[in-house]
Amino acid sequence: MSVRTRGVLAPYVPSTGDPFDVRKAGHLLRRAAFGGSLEERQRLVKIGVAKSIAGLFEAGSGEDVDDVLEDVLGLGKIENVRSYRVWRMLAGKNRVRERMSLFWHDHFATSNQKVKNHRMMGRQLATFDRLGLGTFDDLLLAVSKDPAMIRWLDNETNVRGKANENYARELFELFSLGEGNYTEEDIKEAARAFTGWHLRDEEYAFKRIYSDIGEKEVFGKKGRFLGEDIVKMVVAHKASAPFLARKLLAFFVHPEPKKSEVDALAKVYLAKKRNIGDTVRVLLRSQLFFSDRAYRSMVKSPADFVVGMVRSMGGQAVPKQLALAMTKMGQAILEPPNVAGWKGGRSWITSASWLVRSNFSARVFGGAFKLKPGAAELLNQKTAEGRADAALAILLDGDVDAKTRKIIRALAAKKNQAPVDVLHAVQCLPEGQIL
Amino acid sequence: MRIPLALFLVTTVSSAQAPRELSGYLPPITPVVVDLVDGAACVRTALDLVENLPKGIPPAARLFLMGLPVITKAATGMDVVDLLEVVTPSQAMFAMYPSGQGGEPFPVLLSRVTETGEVRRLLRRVDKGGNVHASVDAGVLTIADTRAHLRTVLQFRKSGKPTLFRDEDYRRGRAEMKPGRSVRFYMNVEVLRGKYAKAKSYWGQLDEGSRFLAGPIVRVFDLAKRVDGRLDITKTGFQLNGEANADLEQDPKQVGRLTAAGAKGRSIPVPPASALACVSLDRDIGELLHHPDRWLGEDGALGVKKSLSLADQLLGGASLLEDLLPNIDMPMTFFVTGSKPDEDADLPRIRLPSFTLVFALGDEDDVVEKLLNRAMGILVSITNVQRIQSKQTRIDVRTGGRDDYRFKYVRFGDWNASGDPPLEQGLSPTLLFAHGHGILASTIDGAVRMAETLKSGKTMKVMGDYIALRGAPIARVLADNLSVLVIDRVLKEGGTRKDSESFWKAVESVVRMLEFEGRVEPRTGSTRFSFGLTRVKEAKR
Repeated sequence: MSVRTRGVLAPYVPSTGDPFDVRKAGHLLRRAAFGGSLEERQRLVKIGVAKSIAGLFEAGSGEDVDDVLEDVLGLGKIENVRSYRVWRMLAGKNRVRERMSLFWHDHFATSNQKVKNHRMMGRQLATFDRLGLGTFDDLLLAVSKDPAMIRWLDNETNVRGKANENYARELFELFSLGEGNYTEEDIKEAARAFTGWHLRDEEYAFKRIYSDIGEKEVFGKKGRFLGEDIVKMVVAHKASAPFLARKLLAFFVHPEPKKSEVDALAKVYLAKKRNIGDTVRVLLRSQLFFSDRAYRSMVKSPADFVVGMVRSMGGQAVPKQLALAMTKMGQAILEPPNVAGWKGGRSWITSASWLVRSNFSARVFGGAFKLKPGAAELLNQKTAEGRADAALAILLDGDVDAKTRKIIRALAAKKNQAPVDVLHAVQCLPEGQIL
Repeated sequence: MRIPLALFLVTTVSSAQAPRELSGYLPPITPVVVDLVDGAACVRTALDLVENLPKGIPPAARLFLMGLPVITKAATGMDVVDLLEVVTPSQAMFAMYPSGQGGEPFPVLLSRVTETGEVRRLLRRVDKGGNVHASVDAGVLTIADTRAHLRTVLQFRKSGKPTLFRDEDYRRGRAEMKPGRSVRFYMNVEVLRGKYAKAKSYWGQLDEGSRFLAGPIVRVFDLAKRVDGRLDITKTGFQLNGEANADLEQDPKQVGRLTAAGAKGRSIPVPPASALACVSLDRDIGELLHHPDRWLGEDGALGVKKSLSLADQLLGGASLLEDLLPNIDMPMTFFVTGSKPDEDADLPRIRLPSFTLVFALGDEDDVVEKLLNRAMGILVSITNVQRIQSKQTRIDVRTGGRDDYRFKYVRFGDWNASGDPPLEQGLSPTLLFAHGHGILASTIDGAVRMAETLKSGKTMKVMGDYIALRGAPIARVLADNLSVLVIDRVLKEGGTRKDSESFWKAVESVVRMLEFEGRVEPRTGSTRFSFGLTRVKEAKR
């Protein structure tokens, strides 16, 4: 169903005064696809904004990453699954999908610190891969039955007569509605509906003997509700659409979305029948997404920083090393700090984490991965000015103020200054930390 | 110490007398000498091997190997065989040359040449940057790693002093040489120890875990003054035989106590046809456990004592040292064998072979069987407590039977979930007693196969330490696990899945045609070692 969007979510239409240039293509790739090489940015400019966005939702060039999940799980150890997730970000064909999986991993934050089962964790993220761009209804139900989530929020101890409220509480507060949109009684009653949602052999199993099939009252409605009913009621709740819209906006557009923006996206979400992929498609195409308010308004997460840098250079890297670097920077994939996920934003940058970022960049540019010919050619510019501009173009779309450009050019002009040092300096600029 | 291995691989010796000629150019304390003669003959062998590469070698690697002669021709203007005939027409000698000022020995290559003009032309052609430090003088080509080192060698030669390399054993040609088939080497390990060892004892540098397994072998190199050897190169592979003049019986540290059989030979079961590996190390666990203070540090010894206490509990109050070990004939033999999975079992993604430990029983009262069966039950009970705490399903011990054999095995619960089961589902740890032996295997199939092997009565004599690896069954395991290996390499080494797959297919192709056998045998007054890498003929696969 086509939905005509207006206001801030009206489609961005390039014009002479506001063209879809390398700067905007870079913005799109960073936010929606963990970045891309200069060649790719230039290619997107050529094909235009509409085809660029459509392409990001389709399988492009890259690796088939889905069919190896069982092989990865067979390897054992959570570190392998973590490396696998990073490899997907780096080499996966479906770029928006990979980024949405990271979004859902943060949204439904589950940690192996407690789950202690790499297979369950790997399969939970596979659920995000599979359903992350579908309807929220399907996703939320799948998450409610997800083995890792059941263990993470103790639903194995949620039994008739002794309901454990952990899952119901987080379902309302963090996963779908937000505080203030439900009562304590709603939580208690909903928890009863999830009794008996347990595990058998690491797989969801409904254990009737533990299930409370009695009448419950949730959101003012009475009935013999089970978990499926609660999920349906939650996704249809009036607070759900703005709650999700706010989170999507904070992930893709601006860390502090305005109410008008939230309301606009919530409308789109409902009009799209709660289909996340369709909603994100509208968001990425919107004037808001390409606005000055959105541009460079967020701090790069370690995943954005690490994977984005490698992608910007069009190079190769070892997933295990990247995963380790991200962990050192404060983002251990599969081990978010708590059920609320990573705090994100400015908290990503501390004196310690910035140092790790700088050292990591130095290692990468110092030869930890191979440069593709395109980037290498640019770095082989004969003049210092050319080298500085090339580094700025590769890593920052060339978008820095005159003063910064002058500093980088001066650095490049220093005697015996290696091109990799110029790249390192550019990556360590404040602009290099901004998404 | 960097010894160019390629020199071993591309050279055969045609004259047993030749080394004595060139040894005159080396000082008496030269720590390493390798005789290299008639390299051209070996290059012909190597080229023949390259032309018969297995089918799995990727085209790029094949092209590279086939291209080496082309690259050689481009760089030198000569065919590689012609090149070797010019550079090493009769004899060459690689040595680690004593620097003379207390510094580290440096590598030097000496070769008796006849076509000196041709050699000089060749040197001019390849040494465009002045980086080859070589001299052709009095029919001898000398190549060193630096110009200064080259000068040192030439000065020694010109001094005319008869203080030449005079190791008497070496001069007598103690290491037997089969004309046309070997490279002979000599190492003065005493000098090398003085130059390179951080401590006087390699054994002392081993960590505690390694002392038991590797200690007796490493100790040989502590005690030896010299090592002589011979490398045979044939169309079917390489055979390295050597001898170190060290005898563990004379060791002041008495590391030989860790061995069980010493210089006595013993019989072990012939590895079954499906065996990937057979490891029989002559070690006495009893010596280690009885005297941990003798072999381990304070922490390690304390750890052993704690473990013994725990082991005694597992044995139901019996003593591991007093009741169990005296009834087992040391040493044990370890096999890795191919294992046929149960047809209706859900199998994990990784297909492991079976790991099997075999030991001869010295008791007639079934003491070992009773104790180990009891320990198995207790161990499973303890494991179940941990498994339940971590929300895993229980395991249990069952009695099973197959092919007239009765055994106890650990059974993991049925797997009912949709994804591949965890690795443990592919295991069924089994304890089987038959034919005077105890068998502890990771699968029922592995245990029963080993019992069949014992029943056949086929044994082989070994002395000291014995290791055998068979390429074809190893390659089968690699092939069975290819998809897992491919993604593992992608995650840990980078690159694409396609690259990784090519890599593993190449490894599998090479491994498939190789067999390895290594022996370290104590003799009176010395320790012999032999390592053979053999190319298996197609028909034998």
